[in-house]
Amino acid sequence: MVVFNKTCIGYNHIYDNIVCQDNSLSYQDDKKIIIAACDGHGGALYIRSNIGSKLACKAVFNVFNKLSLDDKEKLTEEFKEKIKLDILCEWNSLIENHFSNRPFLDDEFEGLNESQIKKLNDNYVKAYGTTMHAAMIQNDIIICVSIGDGGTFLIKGYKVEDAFPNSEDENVANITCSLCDDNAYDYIHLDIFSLSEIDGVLCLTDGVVNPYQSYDNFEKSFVKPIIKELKHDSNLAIKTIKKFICDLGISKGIGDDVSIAMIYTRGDEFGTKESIEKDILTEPKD
Amino acid sequence: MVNMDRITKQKLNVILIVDASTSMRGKRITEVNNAIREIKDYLINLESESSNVDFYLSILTFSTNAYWKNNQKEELVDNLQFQDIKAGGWSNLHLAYQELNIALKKESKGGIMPDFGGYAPIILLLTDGHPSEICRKELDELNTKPWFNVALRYGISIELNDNKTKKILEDFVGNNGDVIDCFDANKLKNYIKLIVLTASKVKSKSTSFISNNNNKPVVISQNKQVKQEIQTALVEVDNWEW
Repeated sequence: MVVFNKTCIGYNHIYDNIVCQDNSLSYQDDKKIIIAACDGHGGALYIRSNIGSKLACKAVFNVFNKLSLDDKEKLTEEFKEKIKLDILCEWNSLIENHFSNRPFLDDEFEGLNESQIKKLNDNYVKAYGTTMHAAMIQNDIIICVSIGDGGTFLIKGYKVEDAFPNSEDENVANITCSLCDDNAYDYIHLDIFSLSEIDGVLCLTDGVVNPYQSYDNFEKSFVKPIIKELKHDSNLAIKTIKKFICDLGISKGIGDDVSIAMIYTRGDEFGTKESIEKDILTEPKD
Repeated sequence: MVNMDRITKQKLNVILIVDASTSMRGKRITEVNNAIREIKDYLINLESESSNVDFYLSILTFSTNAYWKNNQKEELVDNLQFQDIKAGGWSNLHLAYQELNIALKKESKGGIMPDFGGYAPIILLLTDGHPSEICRKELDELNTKPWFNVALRYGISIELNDNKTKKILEDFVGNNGDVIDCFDANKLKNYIKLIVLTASKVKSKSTSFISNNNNKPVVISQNKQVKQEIQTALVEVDNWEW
């Protein structure tokens, strides 16, 4: 079982002296594997989206970590809706806690017009806007959750499928749904799959997928080479993939931050058992 | 390993919907043809200045039938071999809307729009008269398409003082652009260039849906900024220089 994650800043953010707004995680213990990749929005209004994406990773980890998928009869539609709600509520709770300890400072509003400042003062959650893509494997079940551009993809052989094909039209032209939207619940997608049908899961932010433009190109030029490498030598492949992600972010991509979080079940028996990033579990630094 | 060469720039589609009915013959279609040639050259230059954008030009003509020029729904501006549009026939705008409906889908669904990312397209509708057939149904279908909803849309009414046609154009652009009156065909080329080239400079940024009262997503975009820039430039279009 291969499990890893990598986030890298995009060159546009380096040039503009903006922090990386992506975050990702991977976690593995004896019972479960959790991955996530989240992308804070880049617009002027989203002044704390780097915190938002970090807390999105934390929120989905907190909810998934407590979840038991042992009883398959419980995995009903109501169960799925409850998990969606739990994740959204957990994120909002983390945001509320962060904001209550750190109200807006005047210098955070620098560059914003009066209308934007009023929007944030009326609804501070907007400042933390982010996408979220995550998955958990427990026993022989995969649970996937997704909101916004980028995506959660299921690997079957050398093929890749969007875990939520019906959500395709929600995110076009770099316009994305977000956890900070008033109707975010309506746009969170969650589903449960059998591990027997799936070889792996990819959670990617749009900085990774957008340069490929088409599903066909993405599958042939990104997914297939990665799978080949993982089958051949997982340890080396992970290092190569991480280096590629950095190159994509820093120089070769579209300038956006990039994040990948991956589970692959058919490679070498190389469990990374990478811990969740320490600073996800503690309070995020400003 | 992963093939870096297959990484592409972000795609920006410029779609011109051109009335090629009989009444467009003469000066009007000549101005359109000249505008397209100059737009092509300008977009190639703009592309070379931008590390992130590939411009694709689509020319959809409508008369008795609707056709994509060169039988291509889109062409990279560098590769476009443009031959003059010839005018003649009825004005079946509804057929153009049908073609646009097919095109404004993701590539994996048979359209020209990217599956991932991409910029909101720029769509310009040029006409000198009202359509031969009612096109309400086809426009309603277009309004269900996410790519149509985010598109920057402009209409040019050519040497017209016809409220019916104006209404058709206004319905087409909705809140995503403006209808421009060109009362002198000699200036048509400048109007076309001004709109397309000003809009092409707009860069998109990641943003989020915000629900309106009906809980339908409303796009936050830079259309307003583009509209203002075009309105300002239009005042001086007679003296407008590159």
